[in-house]
Order: sequence, then C-alpha cells, then structure tokens
Amino acid sequence: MEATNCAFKNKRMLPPCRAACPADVNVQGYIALLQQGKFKESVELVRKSIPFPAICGRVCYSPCEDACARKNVDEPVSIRALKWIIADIEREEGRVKPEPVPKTHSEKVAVVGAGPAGLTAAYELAKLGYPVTVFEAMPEPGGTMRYFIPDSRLRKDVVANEVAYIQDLGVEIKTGVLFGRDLSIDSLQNDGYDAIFIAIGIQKVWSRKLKTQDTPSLPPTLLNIEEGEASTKLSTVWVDPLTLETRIPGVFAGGDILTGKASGIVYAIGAGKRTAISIDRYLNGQDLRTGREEKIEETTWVKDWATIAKKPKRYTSPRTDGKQKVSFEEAEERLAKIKEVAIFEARRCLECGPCTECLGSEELCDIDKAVVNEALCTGCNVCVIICPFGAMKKSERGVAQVDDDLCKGCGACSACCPERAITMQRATNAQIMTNVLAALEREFA
Amino acid sequence: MSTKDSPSNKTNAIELNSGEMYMPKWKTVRIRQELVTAAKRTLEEGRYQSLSEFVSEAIRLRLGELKQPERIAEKQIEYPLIHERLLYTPDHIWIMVTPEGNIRVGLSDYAQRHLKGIAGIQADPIGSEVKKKEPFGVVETWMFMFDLYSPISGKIIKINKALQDEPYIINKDPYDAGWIAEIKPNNLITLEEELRHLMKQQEYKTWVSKLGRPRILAL
Repeated sequence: MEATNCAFKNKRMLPPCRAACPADVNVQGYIALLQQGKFKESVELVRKSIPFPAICGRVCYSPCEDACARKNVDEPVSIRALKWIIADIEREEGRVKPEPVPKTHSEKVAVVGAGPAGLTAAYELAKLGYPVTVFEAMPEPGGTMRYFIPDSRLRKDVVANEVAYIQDLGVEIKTGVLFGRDLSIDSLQNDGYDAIFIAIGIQKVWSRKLKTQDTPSLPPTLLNIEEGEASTKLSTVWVDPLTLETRIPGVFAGGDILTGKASGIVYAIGAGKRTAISIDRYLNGQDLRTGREEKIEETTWVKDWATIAKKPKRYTSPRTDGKQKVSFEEAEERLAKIKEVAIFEARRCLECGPCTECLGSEELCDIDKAVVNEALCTGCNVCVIICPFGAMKKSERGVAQVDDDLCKGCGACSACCPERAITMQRATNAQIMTNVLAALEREFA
Repeated sequence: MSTKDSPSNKTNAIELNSGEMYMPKWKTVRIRQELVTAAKRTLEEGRYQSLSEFVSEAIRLRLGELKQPERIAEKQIEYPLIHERLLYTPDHIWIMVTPEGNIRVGLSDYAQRHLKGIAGIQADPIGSEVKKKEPFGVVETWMFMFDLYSPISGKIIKINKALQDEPYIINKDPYDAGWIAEIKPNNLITLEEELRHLMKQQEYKTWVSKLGRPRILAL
C-alpha cells in the first residue's frame, strides 16, 4: 500500500485515549501493532511522539486509561503497562542505537535544563535536523526523572538508556553548567544560539538540590510579576500559552517553570513538543500561531456499550521495577509468556477511534477498505444495518457510501451485499473466504 | 494467497462440497451450517468480539502463516563458534585450562543469545573463594538476572575488566574477548577428575539442541 493510496490524509478526529494524552501519543496505533505481535514497530511508533517510552510506561499517570472507552464496558486497557513492557522487550532483545540525524539546518538551538521538557524539545528539534545543545546544572541529565523519582519506581539505568538514545540522535548535552551563574540569555545569544528554550523546572527545589544560593538571573521582562497587597511577588515566567514564547523573541519557556509546581512528566513532554514546533516555525520565519488553535474532535464508533462482550483485564504492570533471578531457559519462557499476555491485553482495545490511526500510509497496517460500485447499488440499506463500525451511510443519491475514517475493512458489508456492489480494495471475496476457513481450521484442529 | 486449503484436508473442521469451496457467486452462496456453528462457537468462547474482528484476525493469521518459512530458517542456527578444546557445564559456562593450570571461564554462545539486552556483568572480586556449583558472579540484562555458576572450587585470580565498561563484548566474541574470570583450583590433583564430568563440544551441542524452545506465538 503506497502512501498516496491512503484515503485518510485529513486526520480530523482522534480516539479518546490519544485526545487525552498531553503528549499526543498514538495509543490506538501502537496497540494495533501490538495486536499483530509487532513489538518493535510498536515502540518505534511511540518514539514518533515521545522520546521516553520506558519512562512513561513506568511513571506516567496515564490520562489515556482514564479516558479509554473500554471503561464503559469493564475496565480500561492497560495502556501504560503495555508501553512499559514493549519498551522493556525491545531493550531486552538488543541495545537500540539510532542513526544520528544529519544536520540540515545551520541555526543553533540552546536548551537550558535536561529534564523531560528540555530533552523532548531537543529530541524533536534534532529529528528536524537542528544542531541542539542542552545545558544541565546537575552532573547527570534527566532532571526530575533522575533526581526526584525514587529508584523503586524508575531505575536510573532506564533514564540513562533513554537519554543515551537522544544523544545518539545527535543532541549534545553539557552537564554541570548552571543557568544564572555560568550562563545567561545574553551569553547564549552572544554565543550564536538563534533560539533558546528555558526548561529549568521549579527553582526553589533545584537550588536546594544543587546546594547553591544562586538563583537564575532571568530578565524581569520574562517574569510574571503579580502585584500583591504587601509586596511585589515574582512568580513564574510569562509565556504565550499556545506557543510558549516569552516576551523576548526567540526565547521560549516550558515545563514546571511555568506552573511553579510539579505537574507530571507527560505534561512537560507535551510542553517540549509544543516548543519544538514553535522554535522550528520561528527559525523558518513562519507564524507561530497558524492552525494550532483548532480543537480536534474526539470520536468512537461504539453506539451501544451493552452490545460489547466483557473481557476483564489480564495484564497489569508489576508493582516494583526489580529484576528476577532466572536461568536462561526460564528467561526465554517468561519472555514468550509476557509477549503472549501483552498481545492478549492489546486485543481488549475496541479500536474505537477512526481509521486515521491505522498507519496505512506507513505500510504497517494490513487493513482493507470497502468500495461501493454505485452502478450496482440499489440502496437496499443492508450494509448500513450490518456495519459494526457505523461506516456505511446512504448518500443523497440513494446509494451506499463508505466513511473511510470509520471503515476498518472487516468485509462484512461486502459479504452481505445482495447486489455484489461492495468490494474490498485489497482482498477478493475468495481470499476472505479462504482466510475465514483457514482461521477456523486452526481454531478447531 | 495460497489455495492449499482444500476440502480434502483431513484437519478441515468444515466440510464443503468441492464446487462451492471458493464461492464463485458470492451473493448466492448460503453460508453452510457448519461454518455458522464454528463461528458461533468461536464467538462464544469470547476470544473475538464480533464476526468482523474474527475475519480480520483470519487475515492476520494468513499473513503470519506466509512468514513461516523465515521463522524456520531462524531456528536452525549453527554453532560455528564452539571451540573444540573447550568444556561445557550444564549452566552454559565454557571452561578452558590455561598453560598455568588455571581455569578460564566464560559464557557459551547459547547463553550469549539470551543476553542481547545485556546491561552489566559482575564477577566476584579477585581473591574471593568460589565453590563448585555455586554462583561466582551475576549477569544482568534489561529484565532479568542470571547467576554464573562456578565449575570448580577455587580462588578467583583474574577478572576481565573490559567487560565492566563494555559488557556487549560478550555478544560479539563470547569465546575469546568475552571471557569472564580465571579461577585457580584448590585441588590440582582432583581437577582432572572434576573436569572429566563436563561436556565436550559435540555433547554440549546435542544437549543444547534438545533444550525446550518456547512455542512460536500464533498471531
């Protein structure tokens, strides 16, 4: 299937899980790949949206699961635990080392703070071909992920592994450089950095951790000055909430520095992603705001929750992040077992979102589509009744019409059409029948 | 798509008349009772939520089946790396007697293939006593930990320091650069007797090939 054949270029609707994720992870997509047993492709898909699949799998507070449509039937799909396990299995099957992205842009970008927000922005910009340098005050990169989350929830080597992936892409990280003492916005601009992203987190907390009295010398133009009753209070940095640009052009800020409180890694990742888009647009001289205010609609095909069979949750994440001592044979067995359970859990996904999530354009999806031959269609409405996804409609001309966003290629309409007016794009009727028989054979052999 | 699935196939749960098998006229075909029962049973088991899911699953199965030959090829990997003069324990440790009469140990190729996600390797420090069939170190991968069992009793006199920074060496060269430690045996007289019980290359090869492999996941 070529990219041009994909009928779903206009992505205008999202499933609830993806709509709920501040970092815009294509949840339905990676779960769908997991259902097919494609573990590696599944992690790669997560990496398209976030650089930290293993970290998010462990410590994200999973707004996606709260939104999951499956909760209307029984329990939500263990989206977070599945991300944890696919990232772990990928690493278990070999060290992942990406190819460095060639630097196609000459404009330099400085990121201050190697926490989730800063590293995500650096990752996104490096993927676009910008030379990015990250400055970090602590001796090791990772920020909150490394220094505040306890080992029992997030192992240090997990953080190190994910940071190494970002470094392998071509991001330079300089540690032990304190913003306010060794660096300032002026010094960075004098060093030839065309855009600066400040993601230094909550200052009160970090200066205690660094055992330093130095507070960052942020110019007053950056700060949100609240006129209090008694005194003028300096709170957090002022930014445009949509683009995260500060009052100084070319300087952006995001993450916990904006909220003044720990707001969750996934929010920081979201802020990093938004900043990367802003910086890319800023450096290309484009308008920062165009097309970003649109709210994307949320959708599910399920109309009646009572019709869906209950399948209780099979897989939950382990309570601790410890390793178990096993023999080589046991390890092989356990890995196979974990994979099996993960695939089973992924199958609980209702795939309630539109087909824009199917990755057909990336040759990862095996999905098919229904096509109506309008010359043969008599408008009998059988397909409209039979379609489980509500993808068939009667058009104004009185013939059947396929909503490509909702069609999942099951072939039910094609099978039931009395006039044989509906065919599938890829599979012929004989092939579908062969497949059905093959599946039955295997099931009852 | 292959057309191997003929009705004469013995494992076929559904018998169809040969003429109707591939359904030349889709609209006129009545779905046979057997097929309906089989489909119903599948749905009742709760594995699939709807017939459509079942059909798409069937397509996946078929695609998975087409990939089968590659998987069989994967299974038949030879062990060209196994040296003839090495001895092996059932814990996948290889042993080489050095000219000084010490024992050099490392992990076999079979073990190495379980260590693709190796994160670190830690042998006991130089000078520590080890006992036969007791752990003298540990290998960590991303998800698991494996004990290294000593083949003899003795004292550790050397460890491969290169492995501490670069544990990946073990994947590249398990039999040479990936050696783990050297042990000085406590009792030189009984050493020969102890080593006699260990497996030689051919025995180890046969033994490894008989080890159970997890079944291939049906997609």
